[in-house]
Amino acid sequence: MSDILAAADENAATKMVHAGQTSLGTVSASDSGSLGPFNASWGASASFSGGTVALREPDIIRIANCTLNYNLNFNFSFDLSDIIPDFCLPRICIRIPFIGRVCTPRICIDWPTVNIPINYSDSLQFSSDFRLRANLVGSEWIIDIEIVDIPLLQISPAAAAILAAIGVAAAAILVAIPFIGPFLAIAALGITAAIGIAGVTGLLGPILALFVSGLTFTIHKLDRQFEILPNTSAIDPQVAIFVDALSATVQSSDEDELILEADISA
Amino acid sequence: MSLTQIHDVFASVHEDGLNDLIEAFYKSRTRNFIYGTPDFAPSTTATITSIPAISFPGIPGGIQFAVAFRKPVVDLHPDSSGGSAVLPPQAGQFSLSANVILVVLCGGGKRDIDPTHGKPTGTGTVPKVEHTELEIHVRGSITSDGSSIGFQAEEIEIVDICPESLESVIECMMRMILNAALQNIRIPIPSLSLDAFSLTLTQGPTIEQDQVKVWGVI
Amino acid sequence: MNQDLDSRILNYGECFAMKFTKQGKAIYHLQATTGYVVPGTENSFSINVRKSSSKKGDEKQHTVTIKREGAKLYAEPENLEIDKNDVVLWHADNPEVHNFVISGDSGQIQFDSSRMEQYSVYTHAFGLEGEYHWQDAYGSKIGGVIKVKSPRCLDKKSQTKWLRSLDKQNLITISGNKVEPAELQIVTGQTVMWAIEKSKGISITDSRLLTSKECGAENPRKKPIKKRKK
Repeated sequence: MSDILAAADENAATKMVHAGQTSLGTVSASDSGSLGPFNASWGASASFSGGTVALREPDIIRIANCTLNYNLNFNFSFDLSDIIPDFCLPRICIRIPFIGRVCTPRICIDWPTVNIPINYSDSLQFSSDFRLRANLVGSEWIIDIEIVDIPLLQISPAAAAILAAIGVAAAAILVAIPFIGPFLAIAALGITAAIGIAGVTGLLGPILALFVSGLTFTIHKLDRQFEILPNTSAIDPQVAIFVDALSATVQSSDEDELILEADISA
Repeated sequence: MSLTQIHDVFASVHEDGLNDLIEAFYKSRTRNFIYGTPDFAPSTTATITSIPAISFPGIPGGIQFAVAFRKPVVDLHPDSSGGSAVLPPQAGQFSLSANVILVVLCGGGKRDIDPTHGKPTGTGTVPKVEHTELEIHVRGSITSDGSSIGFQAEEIEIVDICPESLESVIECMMRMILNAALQNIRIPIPSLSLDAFSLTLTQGPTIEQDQVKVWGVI
Repeated sequence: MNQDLDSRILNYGECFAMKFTKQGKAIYHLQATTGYVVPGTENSFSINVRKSSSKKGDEKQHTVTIKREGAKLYAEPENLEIDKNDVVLWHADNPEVHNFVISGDSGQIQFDSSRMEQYSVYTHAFGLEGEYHWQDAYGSKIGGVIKVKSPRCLDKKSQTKWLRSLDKQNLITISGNKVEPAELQIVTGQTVMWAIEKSKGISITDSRLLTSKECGAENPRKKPIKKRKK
């Protein structure tokens, strides 16, 4: 029999998991990736919250409808000439009564390179199994749950929204380019068509998968030398025990419970 | 039957773990187990608690004495002694065995020793440390103030003191002294889950199956 | 591509032209700002106006291309031989050439693209939709409005129709304080030509670019340019 035995039902386990999500805080990452035919550099951050918890023997915590809150900012550049054709303003000749015939030269318009920044925030829900673990890392016991597989993330609605945001952002940036006016609608459409939902999905999917892959929530941490009473004065020093072994499992009887068992020594 | 039953959380400490906790107290705050008057403990330290001498007319400085408990060993119900326990724990009880050393400084006052010839100077007898070690057996129950658990000795047995009336007097004194000492041995309830969750006590502490058990809401 | 409507400083997509009506050799400079040229610091170029005169209706146009090499502007060709009454038109041939002023002296008259007097032309191709209220930065009463609309070309047909409209002739003539027409409606991509028959030295400047202090304060030549006697 273990020296110390603690148990939490699913209700308590849910609160422990939510606390673990909060303690994870916001995680960030940045890199570059393909956005359809364009290369985009991106930065993203994510946090997790909520979900209902079910316990499954021998060591599984199933979280359903965990919310992934994320913010994505990315920018991509392209030569506008790849989207809309370069063109030239024609020669204009006017016969001016007191001067004579004056002709302007042909003026050719070479479209510039355009940079489009996008910032997008959203959230989605996913469900997955997490495996319960208790490990001694240095002088610290860590009880955590690690995601078992990368879950299927429903990103289609977000991809559509991002594509629409790209169209809006592109139009706002393009409108300031001289002579773009007649081409504006075609240009914005050309950009979004070139990228497509598939392009956005191709960028967004791997980014979100990055946050979910290996996702771990720490349920509890404790020092191997565990304090029972703190040092309060020179005559009342700290009282501590050593946690020599620790395990975390799920056990089922008439209800499923998260079980912590520890062996201690003085 | 689940451990948590109708509650959110459950925590328990087995008697082996409880003895480890008591040993931790004993090692770190030994003064809760050893008491001495000023001739033995001029001041309280981590290893000894200074207590006043017993004032008595004609004894300068009072009666100087010390009481020291060796590390106690606890057994939670059911009895793990195989029937050899003097006071086996009943349902919901613990039993505790410990040796206690009683020390008296005999003689009236201290006399200095002349370092040139090693003989005492002045008048009066040289005080002598007299001591005895007794085996005490206790039966009691776990207490709780909601945030920690403690121990209350209810019955005590000291073997082989004669006459019986002397045994009764000393047992009474020991029970009172032991309960006073045990007041300092309190184990925070969150420790029973190694602080894995906060536990607001809704049931317990209860002694059964060689464990102290508590239930609560997170 | 700088799209400011301001003849005081020229950019790619704009032209300045002038008819040379007097025989003689004109020396001119290309500057990046308005104001006098510090002698010896800028390249000079020449236009030799020959005695022989082009007949009315046969006036020729000579085109000078302004290029940039490092920080310096230069004209190509550097030296021109033209007949009296011919027109010289200056323009930049790529967007990298921006901010230029043409100013010179023929011995009989001084000419300055930042302050046009007579027989001068300023052209501007409009790239952005909007309503442009223009006026003379030097404080004369002339002014007008150009309304630029941008057609939405969603297909090849509408695109072709718009491209075809770009060669429309849009001319504003200025003589003294008279501006004709005062209001013009065009589409994005079309060019407007201002032709100055005579004036005391004016600019064509978007009113939004002017503060109350700026009128006449920028050009150190506060007095009108005087014609030199032969």
